[in-house]
Amino acid sequence: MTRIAHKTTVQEASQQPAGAPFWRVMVALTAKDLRAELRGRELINAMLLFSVLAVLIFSFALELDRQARATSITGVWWVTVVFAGMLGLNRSLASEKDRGNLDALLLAPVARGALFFGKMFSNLIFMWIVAALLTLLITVLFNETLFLPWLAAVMLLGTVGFATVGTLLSSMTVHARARETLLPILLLPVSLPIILSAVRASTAILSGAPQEDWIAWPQMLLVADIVLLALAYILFDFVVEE
Amino acid sequence: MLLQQTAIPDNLSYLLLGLAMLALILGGYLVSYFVRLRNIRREAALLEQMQAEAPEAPGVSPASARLT
Amino acid sequence: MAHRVSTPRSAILTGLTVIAILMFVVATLMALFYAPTDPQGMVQRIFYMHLGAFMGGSLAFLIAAIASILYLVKRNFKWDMMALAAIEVGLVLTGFTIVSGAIWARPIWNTWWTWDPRLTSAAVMWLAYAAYLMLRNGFEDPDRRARFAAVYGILAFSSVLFTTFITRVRPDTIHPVVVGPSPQNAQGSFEVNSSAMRLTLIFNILTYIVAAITLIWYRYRLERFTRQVQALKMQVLSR
Repeated sequence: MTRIAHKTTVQEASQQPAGAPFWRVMVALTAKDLRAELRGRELINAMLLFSVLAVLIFSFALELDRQARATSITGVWWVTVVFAGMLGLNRSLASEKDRGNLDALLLAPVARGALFFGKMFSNLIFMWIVAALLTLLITVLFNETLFLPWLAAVMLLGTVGFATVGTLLSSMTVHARARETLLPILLLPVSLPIILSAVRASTAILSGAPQEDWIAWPQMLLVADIVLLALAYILFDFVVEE
Repeated sequence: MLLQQTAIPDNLSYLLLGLAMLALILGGYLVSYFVRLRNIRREAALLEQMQAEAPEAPGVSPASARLT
Repeated sequence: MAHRVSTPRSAILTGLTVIAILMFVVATLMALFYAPTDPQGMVQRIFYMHLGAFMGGSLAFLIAAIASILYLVKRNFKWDMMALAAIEVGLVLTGFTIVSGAIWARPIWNTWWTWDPRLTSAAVMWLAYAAYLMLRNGFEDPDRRARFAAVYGILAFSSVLFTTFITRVRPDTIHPVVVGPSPQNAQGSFEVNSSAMRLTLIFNILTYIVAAITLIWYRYRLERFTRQVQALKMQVLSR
């Protein structure tokens, strides 16, 4: 049932005329992923459970008392989001490939860039769902309010950069023999500049430091995001060309 | 400041350690290069021998022409 | 029965090899004896090799990034082989940069390693290129392997750029910048203030650049030979 419905939406997405508007293909693909996920809920449940467990383990392992929280809670937040996101990235293209949908998508007469951004946005939305729950969880469990406008901006910039690199790399590792192990090895070093800047910025913002102390980090994140988005958009064509 | 210290600290042993690491890393890479080169040359020699023994398939150029 | 690497070594490569070995000997002797002893002590002399190897390694990664782009554009396997050769050599040279930096830091910073942004990003750069070699092992099909490796080679270069510019963006690194103004927090700074020091530094950088090019050339030839033998093997076994 799920499968048939899933296939049809792929065809719907593929049957756009050759000149189909970029954003419509993108939205169609993202919507397809979200609808499939709403039916199955295999991915988002795993990601959410994982992040709750991760917070639990971190709180015991780091003995997060009142002082430790202020300095390391954003680190816990980012590490959890990154690893939960990796869980999602590993599945998102692998499930397409295992169901044979990947070839259908690539045969569709649509811009490859639209496919990339469609996939990236569905990955990003899963990460944002996890991030939202995690923010709530940390606020309740540790009594640290993470709902600050600048913090939200940094979280947005960081997750966009991570999802960009992650989507590009997972579209390669999906063909590898050991795809689940190869993705983190490739993804973590390349995305570490983003994670590092994001953690630094978040910690500084949470500690209430003056803006001129940390404004360079979000600026660097923004530059990194723009460069990576452009690079991934160009390189994705070469990844899926067969 | 370090520049205002009169006595120059004695840390020659660290310099020697650094030189040893240079020899180890660069030397190790060169050794790995020559081991790989020797192995592949042996394999090439073996393949050439196998080709010489087996009857030549039509249209296939002899290996020696490609490897010398 | 002389099985030479597929084509005889060219006169240019032979000459380059001789030059590289001679330069390496002279550069090392200059760093050890010609340059005056810095107030930091003898360990400061490792800096000439530290920066030289970093420059050679960075050049290797730059060559790898250019070769990766050229592979994607031209689809000639020679660019794939060159990218692989350059990254291997780059890993060796930057590996020495990190190790020698740790050895210098022990007496000067009183620790082998610190999670300074510049050190961290150098380590990350090394890991990114080590992952490049892992990626190559992950794919069987030679065309796909070369294509994916090229994509990753370009992406990984962004981490090199990050390493190079991070000290200019972030003032909170403790790593000294010897050429140009040092960050305000830099610890263990020293000045290359005599002409002998400057000459030694320049000569060492040149040496490691020549050494990097020579090593990449040899590694490229080994890779080409290996692939020819593999092709021959397939031919022999398929009969």
